[in-house]
Amino acid sequence: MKLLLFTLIIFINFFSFANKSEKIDSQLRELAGELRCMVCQNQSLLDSDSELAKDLKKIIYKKLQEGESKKEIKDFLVKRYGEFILFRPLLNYANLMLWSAPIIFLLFIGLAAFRKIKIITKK
Amino acid sequence: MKIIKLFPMVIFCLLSYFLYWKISNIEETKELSSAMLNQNFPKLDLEIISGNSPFSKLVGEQEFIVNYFASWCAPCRQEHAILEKMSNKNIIIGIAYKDSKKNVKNFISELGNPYETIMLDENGRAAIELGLYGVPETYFINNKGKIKFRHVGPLTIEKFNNIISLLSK
Amino acid sequence: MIGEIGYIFLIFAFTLSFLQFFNSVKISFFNFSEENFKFLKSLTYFISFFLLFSFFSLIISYVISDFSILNIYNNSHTNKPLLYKISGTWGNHEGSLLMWLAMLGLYGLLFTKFTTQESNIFTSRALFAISVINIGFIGFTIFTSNPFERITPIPLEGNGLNPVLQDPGLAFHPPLLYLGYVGLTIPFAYSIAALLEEKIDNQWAKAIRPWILTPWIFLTLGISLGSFWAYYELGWGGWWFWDPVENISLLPWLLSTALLHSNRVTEKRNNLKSWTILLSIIAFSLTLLGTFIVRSGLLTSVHAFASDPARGVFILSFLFLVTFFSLILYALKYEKIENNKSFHLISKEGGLLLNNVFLCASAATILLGTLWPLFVEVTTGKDISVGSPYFKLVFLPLIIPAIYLSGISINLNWKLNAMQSILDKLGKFFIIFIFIIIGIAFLLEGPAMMILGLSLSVWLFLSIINDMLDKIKYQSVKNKNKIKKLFLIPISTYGMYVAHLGVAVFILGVAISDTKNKYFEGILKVGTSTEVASYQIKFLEVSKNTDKNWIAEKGLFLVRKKEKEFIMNAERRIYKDTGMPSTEAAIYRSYFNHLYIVMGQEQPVNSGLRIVRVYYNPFIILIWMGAFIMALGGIISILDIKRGKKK
Repeated sequence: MKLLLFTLIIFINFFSFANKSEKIDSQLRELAGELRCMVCQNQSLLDSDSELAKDLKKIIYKKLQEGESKKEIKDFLVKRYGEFILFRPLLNYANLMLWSAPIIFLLFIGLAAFRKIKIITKK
Repeated sequence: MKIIKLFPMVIFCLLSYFLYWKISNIEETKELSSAMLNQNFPKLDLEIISGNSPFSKLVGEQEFIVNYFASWCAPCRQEHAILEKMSNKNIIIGIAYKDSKKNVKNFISELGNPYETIMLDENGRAAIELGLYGVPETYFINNKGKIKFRHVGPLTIEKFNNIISLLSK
Repeated sequence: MIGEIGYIFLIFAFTLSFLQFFNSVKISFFNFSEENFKFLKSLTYFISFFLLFSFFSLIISYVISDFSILNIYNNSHTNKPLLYKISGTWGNHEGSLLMWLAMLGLYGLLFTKFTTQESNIFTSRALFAISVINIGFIGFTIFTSNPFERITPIPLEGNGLNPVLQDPGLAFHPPLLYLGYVGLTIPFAYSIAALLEEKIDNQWAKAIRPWILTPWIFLTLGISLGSFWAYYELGWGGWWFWDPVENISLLPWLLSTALLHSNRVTEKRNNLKSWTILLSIIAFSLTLLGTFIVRSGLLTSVHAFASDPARGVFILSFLFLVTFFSLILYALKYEKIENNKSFHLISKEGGLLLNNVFLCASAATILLGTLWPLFVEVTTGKDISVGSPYFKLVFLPLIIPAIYLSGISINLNWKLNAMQSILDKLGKFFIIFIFIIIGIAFLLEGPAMMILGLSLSVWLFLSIINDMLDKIKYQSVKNKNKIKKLFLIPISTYGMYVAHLGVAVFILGVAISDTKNKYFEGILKVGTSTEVASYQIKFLEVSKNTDKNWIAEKGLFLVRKKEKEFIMNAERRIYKDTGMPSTEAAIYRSYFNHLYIVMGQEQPVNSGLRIVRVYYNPFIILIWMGAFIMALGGIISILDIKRGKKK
């Protein structure tokens, strides 16, 4: 009886671990795709085979396993490598214009175009 | 409307200014800055291969230099002679990156030992605490334990003197 | 000897460009005479010949491996296959610049010979603009980037070409791209001339049309070829990386697409004139900007040529002068050329204008994002990155409405469309569309992004069919035979249908391959297997393979799916002349899908263990096929213009 329970526990843990491992893998891929390989021309950690990229990916994997959040991992890397390592720029006041660019440009150009448009008047 | 007519030109002039600035300052911006500048020197837990000044004795007490090197790194061999000269007036701690004790000892016995202490960062994990890209890299730490400068690539006497004069200002 | 000839031709072209400049100024602004005009034309032809033959001289020198020329010594090697000796001509800064000049000459020649513009003064004014560009670029080449510079003593062998460039895709990518960028000089010249004339009419718009279409076609082909090349050569399985140079190269394409549409409104409704002019100027400026950025070391990129800030200053100054004066001219003449007529929103021209707004906004956003790190550095000294996560997030919301709008605009008529006729024409179509999308959503249950992409593609496709059917119906009053009516639709309309069909195909490819792809990365030992997307992949063996130019480790993979069984070879090459490595991915195509295998280095050495990456990319071929179909649509439209002229 104890043996059965024991096996069951192992099995459940293994199963959830396997699932968890898959989940961590995809989280790693997602995160590595957003981080710059610091010793390459313009590649992400995901695409790079360089030593540094491999080391950083190992560290990220370990941190994901330990349950750290994406933000915590990014903060860790930014502290040591600078904001330059983030391919997705931070959402802060410094980058306000960057992130609001689509709306701003749309408004500006739309306004310029708007002068050409006649609103239909009812006859 | 006047704005519509002139807007493209204004934007363009602004853009040209930025481009011009960058292109005239491109040499200065090439020196890789460090995110760790003015940060405290991190706690590194490394095995000591030789020497007897661990970081606990140095950090916050005096100025020192940390040189990341490896026996398998060709440019490190080139800079080694410079390090020997520098070691006359500076404390240099050497950290071997992704290396083995045996190879490091051979490297030192062949080229000389400029290092006050030699440590081993076998898996390169400690290097990441400094934001290392590769070897050789040299860090300059002041007597308050803050990283004041980081140099990527092999040092030359010229560069070293430049850094020292920069730091003394 | 040939090098000398090439250099002398360059000098001749430069001198003649000055003559061209002074002459065109005289004719355009002071004293027009037929004789002077004929002289101006001859000057243009001579400049074109000199530039073209200078370029050919360099190619010939490459083919015979004349290592006394520094450029050839730096970039070539006797062991290179002939195709790459030739393409090596433009695989470097100086040589590619000379190719730019050759194409500038070619376009100058074609423009002078084939322009349908009736007024010779107008042509002279356009040649004035072209002469300025000639002087700038030829001068730049001669004074900072002379491809014919000699080296003594003469080396016996060259340094070889970067292996990554020794590839058929990359042999054709720069010429196609340059035919696009340089081609935008002509619409620019047209616009300058129009501003000087203080007049634009639909004659002008008809005349400029082929000169917008041609560069557009080449840009479409060049950019998609570059994307395809990066996909199969670089081994990362991606086809667009939002790399700074990629982004800068895309901007002239986006803007010339907007220009094409804006010009159509000018052609048909004599409106949006200042818009068309401004777009021509900006599209051309972006071409100059791109040249500047790639050659000045300003941005980190896999595309950057050897960087040289001194050259950068030269190009930047030239870019600044040309654009600045063009924009001043635009501001001065704005009132004279633009009419104040507005038009209705619910019309083809309204739809095209709205579409333009989104296209331009997306181009502006990409430009800002690409240059943002530069702005931050200048103002705060910090280094930040703006990469693909940002661009994906901002580009898609802007381009998606543009696509939906184009479907609607295709079905709208010029001038105001009555609500009733719209409901008639689009009502049924919309209902069919909804049904199809619901059907797809149920059947596939795919990720939301895929459904969105599919809906865009279906929408565009249906709108084309809808318009075509409607046009046939409309004609049914006169002719009874429906098939015959298909021939009554103008060829340029078919060109438009095909081009937009290409967009639909492209979106379909992106929607499915970006969401349904499968990826495996692992360390495999010879003899082990893995499975990806129901393909069983067995790592059979690694053998050595040698060629004239390289030695390779060839990985053999046995792949099995259901009854099919085949071998795939993934190589890792080391090129003999430079010692540089490159990977040759193994790609297997089944219908529109790719199975893609990359084999890495042995790690650690002599362990028999290698990193192996396998990608399964469904429907990915549609991406490049779609771009090709777009270009085809453009070609069809040009044929119509030619037909029109023959009448």
